[in-house]
Order: sequence, then structure tokens, then C-alpha cells
Amino acid sequence: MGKRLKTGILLLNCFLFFLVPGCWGARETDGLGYVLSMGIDKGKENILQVTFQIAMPQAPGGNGGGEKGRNTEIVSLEAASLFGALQLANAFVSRDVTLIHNRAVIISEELAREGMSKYINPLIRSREIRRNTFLIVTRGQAREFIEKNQPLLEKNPSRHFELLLEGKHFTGFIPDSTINDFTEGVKSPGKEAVTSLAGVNEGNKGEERGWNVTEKARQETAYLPGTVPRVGGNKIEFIGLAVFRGDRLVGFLNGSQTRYYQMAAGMFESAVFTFPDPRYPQTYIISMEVRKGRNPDIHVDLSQEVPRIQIDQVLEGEIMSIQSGESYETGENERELEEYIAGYISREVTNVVKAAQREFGSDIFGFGNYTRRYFWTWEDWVNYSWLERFPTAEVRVNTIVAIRRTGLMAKTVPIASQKGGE
Amino acid sequence: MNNSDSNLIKLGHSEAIAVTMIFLGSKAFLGYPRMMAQMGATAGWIIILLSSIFSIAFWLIISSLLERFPGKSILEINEVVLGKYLGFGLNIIALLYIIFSSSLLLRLFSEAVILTALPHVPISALNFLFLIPMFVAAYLGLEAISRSAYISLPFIMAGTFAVLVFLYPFWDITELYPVLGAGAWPLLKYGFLNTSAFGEVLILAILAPFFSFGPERLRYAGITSIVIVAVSLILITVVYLMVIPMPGATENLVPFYQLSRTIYLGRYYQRLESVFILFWTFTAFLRLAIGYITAALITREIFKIPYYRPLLPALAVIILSLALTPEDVMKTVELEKQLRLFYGWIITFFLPSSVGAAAYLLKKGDRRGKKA
Repeated sequence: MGKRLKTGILLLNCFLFFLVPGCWGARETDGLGYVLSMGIDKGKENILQVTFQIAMPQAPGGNGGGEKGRNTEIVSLEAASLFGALQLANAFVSRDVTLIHNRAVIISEELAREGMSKYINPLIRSREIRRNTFLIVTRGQAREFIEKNQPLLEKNPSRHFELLLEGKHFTGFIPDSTINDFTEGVKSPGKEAVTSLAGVNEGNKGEERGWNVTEKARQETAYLPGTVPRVGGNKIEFIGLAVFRGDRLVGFLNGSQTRYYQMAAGMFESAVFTFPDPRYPQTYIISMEVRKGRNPDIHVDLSQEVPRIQIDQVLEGEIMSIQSGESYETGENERELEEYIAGYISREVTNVVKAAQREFGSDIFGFGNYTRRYFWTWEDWVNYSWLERFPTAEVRVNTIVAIRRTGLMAKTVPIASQKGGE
Repeated sequence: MNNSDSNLIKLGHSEAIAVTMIFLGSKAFLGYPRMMAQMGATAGWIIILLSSIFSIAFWLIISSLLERFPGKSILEINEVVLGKYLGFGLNIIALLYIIFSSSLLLRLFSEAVILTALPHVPISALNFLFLIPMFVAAYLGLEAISRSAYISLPFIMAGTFAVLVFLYPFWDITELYPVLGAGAWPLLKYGFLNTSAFGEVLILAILAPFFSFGPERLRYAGITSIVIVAVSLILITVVYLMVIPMPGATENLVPFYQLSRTIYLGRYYQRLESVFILFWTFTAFLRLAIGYITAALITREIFKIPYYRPLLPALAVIILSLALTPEDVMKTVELEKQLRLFYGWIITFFLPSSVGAAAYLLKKGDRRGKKA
């Protein structure tokens, strides 16, 4: 090949860079309005009221747009569709409003009860929205939730949502909840969908309920969003999950139930639990960090007329507090505590599964997926109609708890005034 | 094959495998995993397994035909075995197939870029912008393309497997049950029809004179390419079915892109798909360039033209025009499914195997390499 030809080809290649067709769809960074979270409520004048929380540009020198101290602008508008609302937003937002950095979609309880698929399907089709975008159902209005969300420790709402929802790894209060999880749940013949549950807490300071210690331990995390007794902090809270049958919201599980739900669904990682002391259930409590020991063995037996669900789980614990001063750290005492907690957890897991059967008729645990092995073909499995059979299934839960660590204390020495007592 | 403008070209074993693998495997970045889910449900991957076995059987027949005529391409063999006119007809069919399939792929890759990265670019502009590097690559010749394929293949493979591994947190093996998915008969039926997916291994038979090794190693090059591509396609389909399970797996237009968008390894390792877009656009470019130069070489061979380069502009116009012919993306997808995945095996495997059978029956050629 001649030298001139080579040079020509090289020049042609260089020229190609100028032809790179980005210019057709060029969207400059400073020309875009980034939606960080989106809320969907039922509209009054039109079908939907869509709320966009849009990031405000913050120039280092303070010359960017927006008022000082505010880093997002919240706008709501009514439209027939989500993308119609997005277009309409450009009637008064100077920048091209885009969902490419949207991290959370918040849907009001009212809308969720009517069915969510028609609002979620467009999001799956859109190239701007990712399947791993968080999907949250809020008690009350989505707009109110976005407005009342005033993070104290984070400036960026996306980061705020990510950190809050990552909390599930060490609290177990909320389940995995993305658009992908929801779609999978809605479309699968083997399980139903759930989403994280959120809400606004207007200052519930708590009230005297007359619970004994056993009940207080049991109710410690049994809250729905908006009801956690607390003072101060951000007004929004994430605790519990929304239960769906098909694409319709049919009920809620509170924070405590959500932890046991995750054990049955094989999603549980770790959480701090409070149990009544086995020897002084009316007086003292024991706190323990419980972690998954290994993935639970879940078997669904279809050999009988009534399906039988067997859950075998192994949990590991680390003692955090023994109020009674009993030395549960070693020997027979340790075994007594392990067996007590194992029985306690098994009962609670069974209760949650039975609640899902009786109250919601919804296999949110995905037990149906364990029935797949009984069938050779997809069609046979679908025809078995697991979701209709789930409410009648028998459930057995077997838990093994192994106390692996006892914190920084090897044993508990009773305080002086109790010496020679009891 | 006439070597007038390529008589110095002798490609090695590795380059041959790299070219064939990219030619076969590029479909992984388009709708292939979705089609497997549509045809086989949870057992979509079994279709690929069966297809690859059928394909190897076909390839063994074709490579034994090549052994009878050492140093000759399948195009020359067609004319020797079937006679001038019938051989010519068969070669024209092969040429039309490769032109049609390249056009469809040009359109589909351009549509994929629009869908995923550049939504406002006109399809004609993207087609054209794929065509320019294709032209440059084809002009530089088979050697340049094959070496590019050889150099880039490890990166493409690493990029592809990285996507699958990064999705580990989303793997759920229960989603691969029921084991037989759509059922035994549909799996067998589609396993056979889908043999077309590996039919492009025929490129080795077309380019046989350009290789520095004999028919025996060519046979192994074909088998190696089919096996590695089949394993890769099976892994992609299995991960796809585990991460975006049935029935949702049948919905995605560009499954591999959807997979790469799903990667989330904590707040700092997400939104990685832009990196992978680079891998698959380069794969697309290589695949299209290989198809383009092969079409030019076939044309040269059929019409006994001494050079292939003057044919490139005319072929570019034909490929571009055909790429722009389908009305919309879904019609293109359907055409590809019909032509390349259902009926392609007739052209790529059945006809050459029939020629092999004819050569055997008519006692043309010789296994030990004697002259026909």
C-alpha cells in the first residue's frame, strides 16, 4: 500500500471522530435537570399527579442556580402518564428534565391498591430508568413523602435513599425493593411481589400501652412507617413491607414481621433482636445480634394433597445484653438460651407465613419457586397454579441458633447487692 | 480461490479461530438470549447445547469435503462437484445469504446503538458510520481484520464474562427449573433449527485458501470455534435466565445490555454499561467487516474477478440499502429470526453437506488429497 494511501486512510480515520454522531442527541450536562426521586399519586384533574425532585446545580463559587441552602426543587404536576408529566415539566423547568439519575420511585398507597403494573411497565421500557431503581410504596401521599424528606446527614437525596435502603443489611426492617424485584414478583407464577414500605412520621411520641416485658420485647420493632415512637430526626422512615397479590397492594408487614419474612424468604442477613429472658420473661430481656449462619434449606413437598413447606435455618448469634445477670455464655445455660431463641424465632417465622396465607393469600416468600423441581416443563408448572394452592399449604419451621460470640464479656458476674440473693 | 490481491495472505490457526468466533458469537449482544428464552423457556440454554452438537456433526461432514479438495474453498469445490452452472447457482445463494445477513446485522447493531446510547441519531447515519470503518477494514484486507479480531478477542471475552460474574449477587439457580423448559420436543426442534446460529462457521470453508494450515487443522479450528462460542452463549443465556427470569426474559430487546445495566456492586460500582457498550460496538464492527469482506471475496470468486477491492463500494451500497429496507426494528428482528436462525442452516449446513454427499457418491476428490 502506498504511503499516500496510508496517510489518506489515517486522515479519514481521524475525520471519523468529527462524525461521531453524538451531536444529534447532544445533551449538555448543564442543560439537564436531573430527577433524583419521583413520586406517583392519584391525580384530581388527570389520572396521575407526578412529583419530581430535581437536583439544583451547586456551583463551587455559589453562582449556580437555586436558592442558598436548597439542593433540590420539588415540582408536582398532573398528567395522564409518567412521561407526559415529564414533558409537561419542561413547560416551566428551564432544563431538559431527565430520569437518568433517578434513584427512587415512590408510589402512594392509594395508587398501589389499584394496581401498579401499568405505571411500572413504562419505566421498564424506558432507557432512562434502570431496573435497579428503588421502588417504594408510601403510606399516604408520595408528594408529601418527598417534601417531608429532609435528610440531616446527607445533602444528596439519591445517596440518602441508597444509604437508608442499604440499612436492610443490618436491620432487616425492609426487603430488597427495586423495579426489577417487583416486576419479577408480579410476573412469576412462583411468587408475589413486595416493596419497601415508607411513610411520614409527624411526631409520634409513643403512649402507655400496658405491655409487659415479654410483649415490649416482641413489639420493639413491630411498627409501620409513621408510627415509630421518636422525637427529632428526618420525618420520613422506612420500616416494613408492602404485600402485593398480582400487582395490587393487599396489606403490610411491620418491621418485626419483615425480619421474619426475610428469614423465610432466604434473604435475611443480620439484625439486632430483643428477646424476653427465658428464666425471667416478665422482668428481663436479652439483646442479641443474629446473623444468617448459612442459606436456609427450603423444601416444598407436593407428594401429599396439601403442599408442605419445610424451612430449616441456621442462625448465629452474638450476645449484646443480658439484663438478668444470668451467665448464658457457656455450658448448659448457653444451650438453654440457644434453644429458647430458636423456638421463639421458629414461632415468629411460622406466624408470618400463616399471616401471609390467611390475611393476604400471597406467596411473597417465593416458596413456589421450590416447586419447580417437581415438574419437567414450564407449562406443567404454570398449570399447577401454585399461587392458588399456597394459602392451604402446611408450614414447618426448624431453627438452629448457635451463639458464636458473647461480646467482650466471657461471663456475667452478679452485682454486689444480689450476692447471696435469689 | 483466486488470490490475485491477497496472494501473500496466510492466516494462522489462532486468527482463523478468532475470526470465526467473532463471526459466530456477535449475536450474543443482540436478541439471541431472548430468542432462546422464547423458544426454550427455562431450558433455553439446552437449545444452544443441542444446536452446537448438530453443528459439529454438520461441520465434520463439510470439513471432510474440504479434505477431499485440499487448498480449495467450498466455492471452488461446489463448482468442481456440481458442475459450472449448478455450482455457480449454489455460490450465488451463499453470496446472497451473507449479504442479507450482514445487512440485517448492520441494521440491528445500529438499532441497538440507538436504543441504548444515541436515541436521537437517524438510523441511516448510524448505518453509514458503521459502514465507513467496515469499508476501511475490508480495504485493508483480511489480514488486518483477522489480526484485529485476534488482538481484541481476549478483551471482548473478558468484558463479556466480567458482566456475567459481576451479576453474581443476582444469580438464582431455581429460575432454571423446570429443567426441560418448553418441553423435550420443542427443545429438539428448535435445537435443530437453531443450528443456523453456528452455520457461519462455514466462513472457514469459504476462506480455506487463505489459511496457512491444512484441512485437518481447519476441522479442529471449526470445532474449537463452535465449542467456545456455544459455551459462551450457554453461559450468557443461563445468567440471563437467572437474573431476568422467565417470563420477563422474553421481553428484553437487547438482553445483554439489560444485563450490564443491572450490575450493582454497591454505590461505587454501578452504571458500568457504558464500558461494555465499547466492547460490543467493536465486536459489531469486526463482525460486520468480516461479513463484508467475505461477501467481496465470494463475489470475486464467483465472477472470476482478479481483485476484490473494486467491488467494495458496490457491495457497501447494496448492504446499506438492504439494511435500511425493513420498516422498523421489530420487523428486522423477525426477519433475522426467520432468515438467520430458522432457515440459515439450509444454506450454511445442509447445502454444503449435500455437496459433500454428492462428492462422495460421484467419487470426486480424494481423502488423501489426490487431484479431483
